[in-house]
Amino acid sequence: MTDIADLELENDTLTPSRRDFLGIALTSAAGVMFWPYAPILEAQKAACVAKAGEGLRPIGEIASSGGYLRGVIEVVAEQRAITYYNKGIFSCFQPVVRTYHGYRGWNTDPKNRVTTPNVASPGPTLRAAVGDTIELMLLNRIDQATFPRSTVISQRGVCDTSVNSNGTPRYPKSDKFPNCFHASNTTNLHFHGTHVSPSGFADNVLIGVIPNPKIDVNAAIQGGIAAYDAWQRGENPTKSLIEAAALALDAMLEAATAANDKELVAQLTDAIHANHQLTEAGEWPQYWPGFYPHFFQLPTYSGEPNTFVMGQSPGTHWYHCHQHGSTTMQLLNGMAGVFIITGDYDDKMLRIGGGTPEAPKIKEQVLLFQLFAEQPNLVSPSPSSAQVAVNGQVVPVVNMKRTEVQWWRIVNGAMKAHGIEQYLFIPDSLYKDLVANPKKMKNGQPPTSVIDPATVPSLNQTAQDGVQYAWQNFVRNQNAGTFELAPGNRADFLVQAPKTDGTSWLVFWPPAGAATITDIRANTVMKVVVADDPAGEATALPTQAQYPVQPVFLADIGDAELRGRARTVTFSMTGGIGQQPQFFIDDKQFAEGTLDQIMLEGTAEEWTLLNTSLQSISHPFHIHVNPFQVVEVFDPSSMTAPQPLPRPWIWWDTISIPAGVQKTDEFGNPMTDANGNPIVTPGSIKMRSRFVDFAGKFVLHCHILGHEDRGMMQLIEVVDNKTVVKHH
Amino acid sequence: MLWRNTVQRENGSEPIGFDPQVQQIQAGDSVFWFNQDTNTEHQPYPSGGLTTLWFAAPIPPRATSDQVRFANAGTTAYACALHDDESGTIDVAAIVQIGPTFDGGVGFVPQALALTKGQSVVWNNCDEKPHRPMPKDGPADAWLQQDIEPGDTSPPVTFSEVAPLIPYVCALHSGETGTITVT
Repeated sequence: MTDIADLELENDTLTPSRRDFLGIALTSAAGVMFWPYAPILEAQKAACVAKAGEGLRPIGEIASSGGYLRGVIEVVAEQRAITYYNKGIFSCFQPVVRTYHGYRGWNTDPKNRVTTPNVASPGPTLRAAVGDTIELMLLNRIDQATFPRSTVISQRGVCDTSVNSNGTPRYPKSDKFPNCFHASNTTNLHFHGTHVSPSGFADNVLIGVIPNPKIDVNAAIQGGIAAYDAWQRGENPTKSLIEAAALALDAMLEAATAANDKELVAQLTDAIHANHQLTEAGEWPQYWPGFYPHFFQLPTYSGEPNTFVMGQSPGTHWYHCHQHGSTTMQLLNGMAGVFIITGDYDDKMLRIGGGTPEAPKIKEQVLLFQLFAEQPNLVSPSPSSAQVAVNGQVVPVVNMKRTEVQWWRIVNGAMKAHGIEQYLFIPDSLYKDLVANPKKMKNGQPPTSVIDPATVPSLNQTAQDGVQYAWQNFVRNQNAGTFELAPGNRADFLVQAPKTDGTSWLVFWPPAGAATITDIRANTVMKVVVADDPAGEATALPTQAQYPVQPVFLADIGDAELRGRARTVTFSMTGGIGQQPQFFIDDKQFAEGTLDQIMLEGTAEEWTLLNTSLQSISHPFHIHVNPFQVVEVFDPSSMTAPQPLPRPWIWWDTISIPAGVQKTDEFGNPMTDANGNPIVTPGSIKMRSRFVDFAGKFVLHCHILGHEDRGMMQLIEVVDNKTVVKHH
Repeated sequence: MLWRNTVQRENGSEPIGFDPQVQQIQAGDSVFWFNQDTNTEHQPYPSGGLTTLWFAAPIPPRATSDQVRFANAGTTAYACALHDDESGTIDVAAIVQIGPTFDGGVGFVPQALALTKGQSVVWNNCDEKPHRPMPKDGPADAWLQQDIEPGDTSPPVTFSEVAPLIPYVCALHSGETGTITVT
């Protein structure tokens, strides 16, 4: 099926929008009408005031209206105050980072800005309904001169570089282009969790929006509006947009030539050449000069023939940068936001406690977990790189009333060193004991056995990765004491406060075998304070009649549906913690221009995902466009055989593949091969997915983005089954 | 932290060379240079070292350099390999941070700072109130002439003599203590 975003390069008939887009290029070339913004930052200050323990603040939103979500996401360089826990105190520093600002509507008028400047904070929350159309302009206005040498584009073959003052290299050392941190100011958007086209102006992560600080913002936005209008009229603005981009690139080249910026001239020349080659081959141009007008519709499942096989799941999704080589840098700088897609699921959830969607009695909390840092640790260690912030805040406080039920939508936009973390509530008395006696955590196990469940909030999961649980799974997972999140995961919970007043602390715990916690305060995410009578609030979990029914398209993928190939995909690495490891999938690193998996549109497949990494290093597998069901798991550190999972299977789009363990002989000695390498029993996940509705090229990768940037990614394609070839 | 310096010689209305002349940073920070000229290359290098120690090639016009990381406290004089009249200094101080604790108090981190003779220290006040470190037995202005306001960093204080243990306190809050040793 072809999505409205799968626009072809041909069929351009749109003269008005072409004229509008030519305006972008011409004004940029002439160097006039620059947006009144000072891109060169003033002198950096070294210090700022630490902010911790404040009440949780909601993230500013751009919400759809009348079926359309219209907004601008602007990427700029900005100095931001970042608070972090530091050996007993809260410290603060103010690096210059790449960051998002969000605007309601198609403008960058400060009065429509929903993001907060100069403090650590995520991008705007996007909120739209299934069936809505997303019309979102991405602007990249980063000033290259603000940051150390980093190539504008990926064609130059240059990695980010860091050297110690004594001349010894710090980075890239053994990393090789393109699997290194690079092109750190080029960006794009991935709409993580959406079931939309991976091509065109939809969830296309194969393009790079290069920084264009002198872009005429108004002209770019007007061009976007013209394209959106054309699209609404059933016309195809693609060719006009591509022409406008080409002209704007030429204008940038002209300006760089006039300024004698030889490096930029060389890079832009390469970008223009690469785009020309791609379009000549009928492919999508890769490089876009500071703007990219996203437009796509969130598909509605109707069940009718020749319509979508899978609709968009309403739920908690997110968006973030996804340019290979710069995802780590930019995500650490804060470039992520929540994308809430509403539907029947929300309608039912908002009725819990007897309210209505218009006047709910249940409070929704949108919680984006992030790490804020200046650079990846390999390039230059950042003091804040271990601090998990929530909506940009450090240890924010959530207030609940006794027995109150709140709906928490958690997005893990953080990238911890290991693939998965365990989260749990600890009552105040135990928390204080662990602060005073850190040796009690020496065994590396979370203290779940000594926590009275009646003293902490209970966790009742309703969705995973933006796909709601079936009723059976909701019941199966009620009153959980802990939950796990890998980078990229989302989890919705009905969180119920205990019956008595008190304070609890949400902390994260590393996997067994990884680093031991020495200071519980460093692992503290949030504080929950329970007090007061719950009058007027939801205080009970939903009954089956009140619980949202799963859409039909989320039925299990049964054996009879598996008509595609069965594949095995192996994640591996060389080296380990404290070294500079290299990352592989199926024994190779990401290679430009090479397809690693090809699936036939309309088929379902079962894949076995293996992880041979040791030292408790799990790899969160993520694949774009289509969610999948996990049907079997094998963690060799705790299981003797793969464990089939009960039906109905849970849907995911990111799943942590358990780490492998080194085999031992009959005497318990670690086994090695003839070359001295460990013989490994890999961890594994077995999953099933439907490759439906959208053909196109996209990626699968490890969602520890430092691994992805450095090679743990594959380019894959879903091909349709249509052909013009006729045998007779 | 990553610090952006500039270098130029083509604009006659501006001083020739590096800006700032003395870059005050903290241990673990990195520095890079932006070449503001349109036709002239520059190549910073540590005085007395190889001209290619930091950068294998000059910084092209209108371009930024790679970053150089300074892990340890100390002073590094540097110059341009291509222009004798361009020089600068990177002054790397040890850092003590002053910040709020979980329980509402205020602390110094590290609480016990170890320096070698000739090194400097700065105090970075992340707290919402002013603070002023002073030797436990000394006058309030022994090190700093004024309080460090919230969000500010003190001027560097250089320790030129060996000292086995210097206990210090906040001149405004006597319960806030730390130590410095100089070897």
